[in-house]
Amino acid sequence: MDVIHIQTRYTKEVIFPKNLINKIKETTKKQGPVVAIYSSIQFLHTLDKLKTLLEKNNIKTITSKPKRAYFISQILGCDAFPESLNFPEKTHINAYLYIGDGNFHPNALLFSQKNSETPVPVITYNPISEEIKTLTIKNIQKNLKKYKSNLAKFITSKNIGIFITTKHGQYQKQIALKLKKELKNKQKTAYLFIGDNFSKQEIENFPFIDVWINTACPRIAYDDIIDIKQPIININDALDTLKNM
Amino acid sequence: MDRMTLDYYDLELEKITEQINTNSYKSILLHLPDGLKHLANNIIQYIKQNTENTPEIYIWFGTNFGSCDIPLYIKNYGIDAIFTFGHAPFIKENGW
Repeated sequence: MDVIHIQTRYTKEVIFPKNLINKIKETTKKQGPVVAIYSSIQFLHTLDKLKTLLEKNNIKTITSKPKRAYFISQILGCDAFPESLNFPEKTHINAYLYIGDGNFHPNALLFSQKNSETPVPVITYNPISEEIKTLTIKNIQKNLKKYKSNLAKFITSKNIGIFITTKHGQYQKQIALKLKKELKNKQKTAYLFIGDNFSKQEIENFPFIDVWINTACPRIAYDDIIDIKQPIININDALDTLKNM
Repeated sequence: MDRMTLDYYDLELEKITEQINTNSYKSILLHLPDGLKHLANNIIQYIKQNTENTPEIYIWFGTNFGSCDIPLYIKNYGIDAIFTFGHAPFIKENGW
């Protein structure tokens, strides 16, 4: 079976406004502008032009090819961890700059800083609406607070549900089995669940589960938790927490 | 056709029909993200008008959150090709 990707690139001309330059300089003024630039696949082809414009205005730019992305500067929703962006060690930036629409991808850049003592803002430019926004860690504060509370519940909970997805790119059975073994060592009981989507409706069918561990897309345990009563955390945090117990 | 979406994004309709004509697919799946699902009928009409032997066309009745979310197992249901919209290939890593 063949799989053919249709990238659906944006076809209109993108003109980056002067206000964007001003916004970057204003946001990074205390430190001097060093911005890391990313976009969704739809707008990737506009970044060369953007980079030239920024450098002409004395704004230093860097970028990277995130681990799971196909192209340099292409950001995915799962780039919600600092190591997934693939920066060389000790790379210093003052802000991220994201070109594209919506908050889903920029929020990944915020979540990637959840453990940082000095998180930097994410400036976004939407070429369709021509809107410039600055997002900070405060924009995801509610999610982070809930996540922290979920982690605390995990420590004291007995019955742990481990969700494995059948989605091919997110399938992680081996690490799920590793966690199951670690949980047993800490006198917790693990239940393995496997399915396509991690839905609120299905969670409610298993009330004996105290805490859910997500091994699929990490954004499930970051974005969706606001509307879900049952605690959910990501598997990497579960394994790290168990190490320290 | 929805002019706004078609004018704003390249759906590569010519590439799709060229692939179908070259490979003589008998059965294909259109895998669309939420923002493009409303165009499924339009895409199908274009394919019908521009292919020599139009394949059986299925529309995925589920999610397309990215290239990590392509229903590859659909090959077991007789699909020859998936046209997946909105994303580039995904580099899967093992473990977190």
